[in-house]
Amino acid sequence: MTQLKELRAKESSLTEMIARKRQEKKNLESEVAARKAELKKCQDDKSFVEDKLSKWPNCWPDYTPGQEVK
Amino acid sequence: MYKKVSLFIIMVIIGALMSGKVYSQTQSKPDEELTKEEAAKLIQDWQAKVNALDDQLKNLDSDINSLKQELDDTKKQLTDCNDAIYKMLGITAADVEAFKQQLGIIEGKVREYQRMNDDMLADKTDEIKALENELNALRANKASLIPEYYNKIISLARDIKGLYREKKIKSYTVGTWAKDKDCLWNIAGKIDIYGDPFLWPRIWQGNTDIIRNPDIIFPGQVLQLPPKGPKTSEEMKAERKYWREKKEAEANKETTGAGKQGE
Repeated sequence: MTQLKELRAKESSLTEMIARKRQEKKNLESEVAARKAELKKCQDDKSFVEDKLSKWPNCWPDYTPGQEVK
Repeated sequence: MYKKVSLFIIMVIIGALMSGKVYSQTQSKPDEELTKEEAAKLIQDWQAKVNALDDQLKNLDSDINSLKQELDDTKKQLTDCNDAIYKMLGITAADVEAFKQQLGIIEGKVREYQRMNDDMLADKTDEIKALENELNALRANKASLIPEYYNKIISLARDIKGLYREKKIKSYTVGTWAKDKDCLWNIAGKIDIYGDPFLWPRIWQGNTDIIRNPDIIFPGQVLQLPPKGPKTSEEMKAERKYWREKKEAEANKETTGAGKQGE
């Protein structure tokens, strides 16, 4: 009877722990997805900067450097 | 035949219900009332359940550890990527922060100007030009190549261009013919008024209360100047009437003159 009691208690504690771990996993998954999106944006930004730097300082579609508004 | 099949189905259902009842009776029986065999069976079932949960937990732990590792790796790559951008541009995070603040100040001023009306903006033309130059000076900073700021600068430049307003002259005091050569034709032709003498009927029609004959205006008269734009149908009608009457008057003059000569 004691064994049965212990098994029931263990089952209950394991079920609770699994629910917690599932939540933790879900949180981690969404954080990883967010960081990956940030990384993707950073890589895109890097390519953009590389492209503009190769044209520097004439890298503006609407402005020619040294042109002052009078 | 159908009767036999129906009977068989009913018996199967009853059988299923009976076995369920027996099972549930064993489950709901207090532990103390279980037989040795029943208790052994129950322990075996619970042990299997616990083992399955244990496995599930282990798998979850393993997944969580992998995710943590993946998160650390991604964070590291992100830091490296940002560092690489700053290195390419030869700037620090502090430089970027300072640049962001300068851009924020310009943006604040632009938004302030956007709330002003046309007359106020026309008075602030020099300040708007200074603001445009200030923004253009920021383009010389390599932090401006960070996409977020690059796009903001282009958008702000567009907003600033949209702030320029021409000063509108709303009224004009007629000068003398000797000094200013003021007539409706010449006034409409002035660059700071319409820059188009053909728009003289517009001034006339805007001032019919003080101009009866558009050929005659007096020094000191204050003329209201309607905004520049194509002539309205009323103005064109008035102009046609003017030319018709002028032509008729001249024809009459000639007839009268010829008559007098004939006499």
